[in-house]
Amino acid sequence: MKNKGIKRIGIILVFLIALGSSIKVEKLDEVRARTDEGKFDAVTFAEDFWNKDLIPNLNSAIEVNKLIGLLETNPKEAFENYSKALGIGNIRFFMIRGEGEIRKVGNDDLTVLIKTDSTNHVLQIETEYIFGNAVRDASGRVDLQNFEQTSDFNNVSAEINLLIRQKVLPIIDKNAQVGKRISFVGAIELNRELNEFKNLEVIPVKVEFFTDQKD
Amino acid sequence: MTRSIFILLISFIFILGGCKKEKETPSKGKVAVVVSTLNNPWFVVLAETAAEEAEALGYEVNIFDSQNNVSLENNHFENAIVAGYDAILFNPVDAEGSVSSVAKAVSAGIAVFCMDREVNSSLPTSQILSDNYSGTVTLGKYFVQQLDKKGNYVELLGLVGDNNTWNRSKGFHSVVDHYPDLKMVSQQSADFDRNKAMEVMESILQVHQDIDAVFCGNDAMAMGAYQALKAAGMANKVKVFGFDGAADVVEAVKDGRIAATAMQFPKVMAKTAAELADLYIQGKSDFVKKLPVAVELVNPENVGHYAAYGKKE
Repeated sequence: MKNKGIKRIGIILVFLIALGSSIKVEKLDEVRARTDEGKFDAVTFAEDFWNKDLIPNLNSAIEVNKLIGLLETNPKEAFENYSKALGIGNIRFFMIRGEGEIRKVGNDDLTVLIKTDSTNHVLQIETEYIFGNAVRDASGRVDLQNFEQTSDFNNVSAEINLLIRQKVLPIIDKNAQVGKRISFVGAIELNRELNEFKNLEVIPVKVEFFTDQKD
Repeated sequence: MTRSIFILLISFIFILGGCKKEKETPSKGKVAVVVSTLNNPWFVVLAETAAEEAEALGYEVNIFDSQNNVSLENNHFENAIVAGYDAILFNPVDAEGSVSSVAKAVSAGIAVFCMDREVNSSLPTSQILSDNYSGTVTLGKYFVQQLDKKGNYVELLGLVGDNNTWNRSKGFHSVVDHYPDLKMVSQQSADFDRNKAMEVMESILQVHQDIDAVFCGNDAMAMGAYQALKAAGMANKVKVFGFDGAADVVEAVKDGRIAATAMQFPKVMAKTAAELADLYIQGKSDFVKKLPVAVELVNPENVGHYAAYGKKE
């Protein structure tokens, strides 16, 4: 009886060791960057990033009034604590969220007025020029060092922007009207040296529309 | 008497020579700057800034001009290996063709830091690169806005073996190709060279006279294209866009001859490469493999903030 127990424990141990040695831990970025043929699949990477990294973490975006207030009073802190960028230079990215009233539905963007008790800010939510690295880089979740080819890294941004056109812009097209309220999360690009934050241009990743009550 | 005075004079000169001790600070090592070409002022700034920074950090430095020739570039590497250089600050001619030179240097224990252009390899200790793709995405957006999403345009490409050529072109097209009313009527390489760009543009204008804009992969070609357009009496009609932030084009953006350019920061790249090489020689071993340097759009609205090759100081 005792021997049987020891035998069973031994078999279980051997099984666990075999299982452990067959498990390989890899960085998610590296796995995403490979396909069976060894060629980078930017489409799959971008979808994965969107569903598993970007959307679940939108709550970490800084509220736009808080950011603007900080840019006015302490831009150094704003850029150091809330912006992200891949390398060196003055171009930095922020993920922001906010809520405001649509004042204009233009061909290329929505003009949104964000009011608080003490401030009025106007920003543009882009609907035409969905280009660039703002969303990829503002998220801080895609690491250039995991890509052997810079072109693969660039393709990630292109595919993310395509997802915005497919998932976000149709919602805006259908619902945007002057006077309606919109809540949004999106990425912006700012130049730390120039610090020009009037009329921010937001690349949207999530929008909701409502009048008095949320639609 | 005269002979005695002469002997005294000579002796005095020798004594002075012997007393004069030059305080020679021993060099910390040797750094080579291998640059693709010195025939383009942008690369002259890159090379000279890298050399100055390395010298300021205490190294003996020499600049080697590859004249856009991979074989000559390879010779420079072999000479650097034989001469015992500690690091090479490298601006490669060809992303693929230059890899073997890097491999030789690394095998010989010499650290290689690429500046501006990359090689398709993880062998360099670090590659400090302009974010060309993003730069031309921003430029492409401005291009579309300036042309109001319609018109005919020409593209002049750089050296076809340089990744920068394709990163810039792809970034530009990733924007512009979304607009079917913007038609590329011609796309040709002018090797990043001003004179060649002028010749290529002249040929293009023989066939295509109804054009609204030219996008050039660097500022030297932009100025060449502008010259051709001016000679054809079309400079006021056709918008020219460049890339680099060269002195003459920054001035040309100010006075409206060139519509816009994208400012690279060769001094930042060169200084960073020299500083990283110094850290490496001092014993640091962990470096990021790729370090992008942001590129900024320069247009008539913001050109006042910029000077040649960087920010206004």
